[in-house]
Amino acid sequence: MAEVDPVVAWPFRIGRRDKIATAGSCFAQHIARHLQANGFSFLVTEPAHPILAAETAAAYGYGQYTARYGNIYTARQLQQLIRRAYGRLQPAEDVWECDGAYFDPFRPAIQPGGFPTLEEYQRDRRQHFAAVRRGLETADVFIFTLGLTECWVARSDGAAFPVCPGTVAGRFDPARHAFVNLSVADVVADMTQAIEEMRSVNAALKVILTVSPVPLAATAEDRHVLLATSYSKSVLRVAAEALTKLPDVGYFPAYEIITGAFSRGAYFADDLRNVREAGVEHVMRLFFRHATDLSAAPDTVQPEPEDDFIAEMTAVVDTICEESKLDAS
Amino acid sequence: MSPRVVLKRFVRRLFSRGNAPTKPMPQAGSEPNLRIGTREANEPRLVCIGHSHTRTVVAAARRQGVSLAGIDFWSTGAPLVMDEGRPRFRQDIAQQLSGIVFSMVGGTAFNIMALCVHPRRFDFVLPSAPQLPFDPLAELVPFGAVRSALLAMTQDYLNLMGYVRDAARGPVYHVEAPPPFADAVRKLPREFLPYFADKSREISPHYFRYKMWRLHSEIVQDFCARRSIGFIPRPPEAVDSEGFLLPRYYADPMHVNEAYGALVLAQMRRLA
Repeated sequence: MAEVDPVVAWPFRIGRRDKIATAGSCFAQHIARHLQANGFSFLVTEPAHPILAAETAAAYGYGQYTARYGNIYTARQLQQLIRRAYGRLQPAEDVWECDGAYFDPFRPAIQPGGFPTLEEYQRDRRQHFAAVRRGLETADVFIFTLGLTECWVARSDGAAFPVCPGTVAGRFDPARHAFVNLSVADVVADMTQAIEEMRSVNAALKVILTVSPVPLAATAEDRHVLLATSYSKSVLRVAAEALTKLPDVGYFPAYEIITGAFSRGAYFADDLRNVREAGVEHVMRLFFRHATDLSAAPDTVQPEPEDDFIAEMTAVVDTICEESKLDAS
Repeated sequence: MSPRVVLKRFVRRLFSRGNAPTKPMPQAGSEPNLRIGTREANEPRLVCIGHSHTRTVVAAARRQGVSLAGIDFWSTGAPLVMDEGRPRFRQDIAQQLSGIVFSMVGGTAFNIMALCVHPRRFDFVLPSAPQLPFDPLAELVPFGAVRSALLAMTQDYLNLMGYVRDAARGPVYHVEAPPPFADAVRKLPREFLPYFADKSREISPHYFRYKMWRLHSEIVQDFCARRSIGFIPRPPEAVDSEGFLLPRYYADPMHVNEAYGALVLAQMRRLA
């Protein structure tokens, strides 16, 4: 089944030196990981500080995507993020306070326990938006994985949250929050607006869309989750097809590679939702074959000199401590 | 080099290769472990154990003729041995830990991150004092992430304090590390410059050093509370109105002088 290749025509090629930004639902993280591993220039404009251990950086949402925005499940959330980053949208519900901590309603799980102070929250948001802008303005390619159609919005201004208020943080209030299940027209409109916003600051940006193959775990609709999944994926797939009519927008069929009947479901893990590494490798093998130009050698990554800071300072501190012994004697 | 690798080096320094002491304990009154002064029969025995900060207290005790046993890990050789898979102090050190034990273990870990400006200049908001100034040239690193990094650098010292608590037969107090100085003009002494690969390394803004010191103290204080170790804060008379070390107590970029040691010694004697 690893030979199945549904990619027939692909509109453009990505070079190793092209800067690639990623966003979307969790499947996009796999794409970013494989791009890095294969010597492509995965653009990260909000990297973890080198004093952080790898596990701490991961817990704080660094390195998953180009900036520290966490999973962006819907096209609506993406277009609103872009507008917020450029100050063109100021949601009324902009911070959740729970048990003395502050949470970002638009990335509520971005750090364990939320932000301990409003000061940190506000500083971090300004820094984050600057990183989002740098990513949009300097990327050559933007890869976005469409994940969901179901979302929760603020009734006051339509601000779309990644998860239902009250699940990760915040408090659900039926007077303030509403459930929305986006249609094809909604997704096309949101994504078109997002692409226009991005190209208003980066005219040459190429866009690659994928649809997450991960089925829904639950639905807020009054119907079975199988039907909800079928509806959601169908909407996203049709919307993605419509969006390829825009210039320099390609749809890569990761969804079909993972869910196609030819694999007999073998690409799904035991939980029947997450994608096995073999499936991701199949997608990325075809991605590299069709969507990339592998002629240039990968850049050699030089370790950042700042990585030596802790070792150097440890030696200095030790030395000062030993010197103080001589002074004391 | 990652903080973890650095810490592994530190751990190797703590442990003897075998179970036998690597060095016999010196006689009282001789370097490196001191018992100085004379003690009246009704006075409790005072023991000060730790790293470089112990020296100022030992020096003050010597000058005042106060009886104090001083154990400086920079001079003991590897102080720990493995006993059935668990670390414990060498017998000769454990025997010293009677009376009232004052820990001055560690106390410099925050300087590794805070003394000089990191090439990727950073700052953080301290939740216990969010109003403290933020370095306008720095990027923000989340407080929880900074705390995790500093905790990782402090963990071996906390473990060592735990071994002190386990081995001591009486009350144990930990003495807070001296606060940073405020003088932003004061530079690293010239003799330390050869140790820097980057000779342009500049000393960090004083508020950044102060925040990192406070965070370090909060981590240590949390540990002390969990392990029934008393916590002795810096002598209030040694700091200015904002909490920075007064210039007359400065010794070097990380250490205080004997006059500060005298203030700590007085705190210790009040608890005795």
